[in-house]
Amino acid sequence: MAEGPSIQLENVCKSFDEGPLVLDSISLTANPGEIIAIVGPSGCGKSTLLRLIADLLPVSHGCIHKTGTPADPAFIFQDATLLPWATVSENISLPARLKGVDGDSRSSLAKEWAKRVGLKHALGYYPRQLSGGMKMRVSIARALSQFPNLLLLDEPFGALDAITRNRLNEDLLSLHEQSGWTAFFVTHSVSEAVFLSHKVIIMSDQPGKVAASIDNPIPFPRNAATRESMAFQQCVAEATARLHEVLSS
Amino acid sequence: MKLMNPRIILPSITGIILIGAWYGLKALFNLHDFILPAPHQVIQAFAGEGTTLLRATSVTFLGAGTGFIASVVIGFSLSLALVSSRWLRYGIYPYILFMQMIPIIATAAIIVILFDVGLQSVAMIAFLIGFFPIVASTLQGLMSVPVEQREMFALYKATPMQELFLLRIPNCLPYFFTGAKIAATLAVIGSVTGEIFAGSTNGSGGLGFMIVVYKSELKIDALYAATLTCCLLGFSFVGVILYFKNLALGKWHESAMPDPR
Repeated sequence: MAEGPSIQLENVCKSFDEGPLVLDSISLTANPGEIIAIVGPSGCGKSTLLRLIADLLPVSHGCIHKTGTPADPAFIFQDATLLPWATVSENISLPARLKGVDGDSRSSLAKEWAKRVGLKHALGYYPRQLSGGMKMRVSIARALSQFPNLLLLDEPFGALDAITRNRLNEDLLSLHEQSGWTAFFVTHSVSEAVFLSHKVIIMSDQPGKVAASIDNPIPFPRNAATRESMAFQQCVAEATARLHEVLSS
Repeated sequence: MKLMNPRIILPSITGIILIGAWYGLKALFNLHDFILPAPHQVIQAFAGEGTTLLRATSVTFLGAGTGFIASVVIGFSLSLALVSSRWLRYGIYPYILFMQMIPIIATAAIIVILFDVGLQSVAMIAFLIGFFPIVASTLQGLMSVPVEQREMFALYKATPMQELFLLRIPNCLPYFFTGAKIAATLAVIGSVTGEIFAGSTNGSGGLGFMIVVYKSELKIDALYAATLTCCLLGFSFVGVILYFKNLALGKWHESAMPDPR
């Protein structure tokens, strides 16, 4: 079981070239194995923040400390970003292929992960033959297949229907239970944020700032029944109220 | 299987109407055979000039085929070079666009002056006319990889070669085949245009040369037959490309899917 790194952002600022500030003095901490949910209005720099943490973009000011286990990140994008010319099996094992793993090990790896996300029957399918939810499962399997310890999720379930979304949320938590990665989860849905996270960060826009940080008191493990609980509803209501404050200010 | 397949029935009806209109126009304006021959006369010319046309077709095929293959190989390689170096792209691409604007007839005239009459000139013209659409579309396909897929490759520390072979080249294939299809049509047109200028190649003329000959001999029915042969040759070129396209894209790309309606 891979222990996730601890991630600490200290006054992180980001602007593109000479443009205006996109992110302004973001400070937040994720302890090992914590899931941090980030909600906020469109265009508040949530996706940019994830890219900074993943080292896909350089920070303009401030710094990001990664301590503990060396960070081995995986990214799950809004769109499943599967290669359309590759089968489910080839898509899942793409990171392994890029690392130079041989063909036999790759196909057994793909088989194992397809099984874990419930797509064992679809190994030979091409992305166009899959539904939105299935594509996202492939994307999750691809991200997790290399046992990352830092997971960055950029509104991965935004385009899915509510039932599929809830199912995938539950699946994600049970995968987290088995591996304990640290994660940042960007979403537009407050209830999704509360369901998944240890901490909910609410961001305001222009420039993106941390407007509120809400510790999530709901105990793990969580499952479908958690959504019915009083504590969950209360937490969602509180976070929603804070989000509305931010949106109206 | 449906007996009345609209994909066969409808074009057949259009064809019958067109041939009817052809006869109608000829009768209506009382056009002489050397102005507008009747369809059956064109078919007779096919039979009468069969050996000549077949030989001419093989000559044109050789010119167009050589030029087309050269345009695919050189066009694709140049696209790979252009995508891997921004400086090369900035330096060269404007000239590729510029040369694309030169009318093929002017190109043909210049090439024949430079390289003399013969297969080399004809193939060169077919190459030049097909080269630009291939470079333009292949380069677009190589460049237009979704940002998120590039980020994913970057995250897994893919080497530039891995990015090229596992991401950019597969991504460009649909674009490449669009370019190749245009180039295949143009290769025959370029080759025939070349032959009109370059005349006889190795003592035996291609279809372009025969068009000039038939025109001067006032064998207008044979002229029509030669023109139709050009079309058929063009179709067979495109057919070969479509076969390879289906082989490469059939399983995954939307363009290779059957009609939705």
